[in-house]
Amino acid sequence: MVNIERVSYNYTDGKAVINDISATLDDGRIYGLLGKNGAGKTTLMKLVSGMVFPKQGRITIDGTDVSARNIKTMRETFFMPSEFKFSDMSMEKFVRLYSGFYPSFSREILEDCLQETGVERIIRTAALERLSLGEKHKVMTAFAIASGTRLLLMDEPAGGMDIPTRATFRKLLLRHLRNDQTVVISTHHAADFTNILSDVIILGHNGEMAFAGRTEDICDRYVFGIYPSDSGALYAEPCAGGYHAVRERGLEGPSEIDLEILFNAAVSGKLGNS
Amino acid sequence: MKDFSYRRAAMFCRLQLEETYFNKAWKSAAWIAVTLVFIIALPMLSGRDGIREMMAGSEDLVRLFAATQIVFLYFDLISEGRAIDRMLVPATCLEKFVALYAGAAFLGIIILGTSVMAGSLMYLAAAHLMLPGQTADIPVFLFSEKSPLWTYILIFGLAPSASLWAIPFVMRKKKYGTAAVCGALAAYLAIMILPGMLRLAGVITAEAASIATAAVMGIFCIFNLRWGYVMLLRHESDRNANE
Repeated sequence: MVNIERVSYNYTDGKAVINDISATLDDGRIYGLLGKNGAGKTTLMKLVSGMVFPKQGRITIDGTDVSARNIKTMRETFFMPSEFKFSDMSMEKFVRLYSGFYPSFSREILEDCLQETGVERIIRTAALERLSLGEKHKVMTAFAIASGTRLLLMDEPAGGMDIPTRATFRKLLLRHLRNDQTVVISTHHAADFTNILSDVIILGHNGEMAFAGRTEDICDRYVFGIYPSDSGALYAEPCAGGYHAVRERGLEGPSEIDLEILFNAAVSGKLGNS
Repeated sequence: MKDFSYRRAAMFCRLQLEETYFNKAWKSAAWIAVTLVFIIALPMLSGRDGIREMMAGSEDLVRLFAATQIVFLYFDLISEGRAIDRMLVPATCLEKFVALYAGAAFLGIIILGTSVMAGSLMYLAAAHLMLPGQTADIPVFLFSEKSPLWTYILIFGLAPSASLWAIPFVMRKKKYGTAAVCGALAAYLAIMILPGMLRLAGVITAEAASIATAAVMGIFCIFNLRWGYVMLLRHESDRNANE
């Protein structure tokens, strides 16, 4: 379990990137981390991974402070950055050099992920450095899932992936995740992950948390849809059929979560922090 | 779980060396060949008077190349943008620090070994070409003439270990202040040469200067190891501070 306790972070220019954020990330859940560009999503992931240390507050994983860079914590944390470079090496060599550091690494899972995403044949001959952006993300995502770490932090994993691969990625995550693993996915493609997220965290302006909630609670509390008018809506956007809106659910039946509307409502301050 | 594991340190050392230096056989061979050409050809082309002087130049370059590998490994360790960031690879800071020394020692041995073999052959050939029939009294093997022990300690021990704290220290001059950084480095060098200066001034004897120099070098070696490690820990804690 990850505990984020009143964490703040700023770079040397003094502007707060993360401002007094608290959250608990439970085992066996998939968190969607949403926010506008520059909202602090990547910084929050770097903080949780122990890549940078909080200026205030603390982050613990199973009670151990991440800043201590304890080897046990490091072995159970995998951070996949949104932008990265591979060296001019084969996949086989990459796996041979890095997999030994992750005790739960599974070659079977890796092979399954590579096969499902369709890069298995390409990487047999091509060096990782020469792959396209989408292929690099497929390879890295496969390695991340195969690492078997208890905390998996993925920054824009869908970047560069085509639409069918995004669906495959969702399938692979659900297929291979264990109950003791926690996944945090930062993304701008919210709609691609709606079906697999168990929790949503939305970062607002000034590095503050705009919204956090479990998807089941969101479904209990709000209802999303297209309405003829915006009356009674917590937040609404005009659309072809009227208004795309989020309302208090009340006695209405449940609806699917519209992450885009939820996000816009949260960052415009129309929803309370769940 | 152990905070230090030889296995993890060895794995990290292998990771760094294989990814940086020995990724592809032809690239490794090319790197060694270019290094050798540089070490041997540069003194030959520098217009030095004789074989002996050229060989002395080559020996200096071998020492320089061997001793600076730790600096390249250090920059590789702190570089960012890799698929798996070096600092996030699950190994402790101490394991990574030890891996730096092990990797540098391994590279140093390779550079020394190949340079001595290839350089000696080249100089043997050069001696026969330049001085046909007069090569009997020329030491055509690199490092066949003895150098004082302290030069080896200085070049292979003190200088590389000092670079591991001095480089990050200079890189953080904004944080510590330029005056403090320059002052500390100047003081370090001043203490190092102090016994020699005192001897030149006639204050102490040559023997006392040797003992004092040995003592200073010993203390500085321990100091370098300690501060090199501390600076690596600090790099972990305040990385990205300037983003």
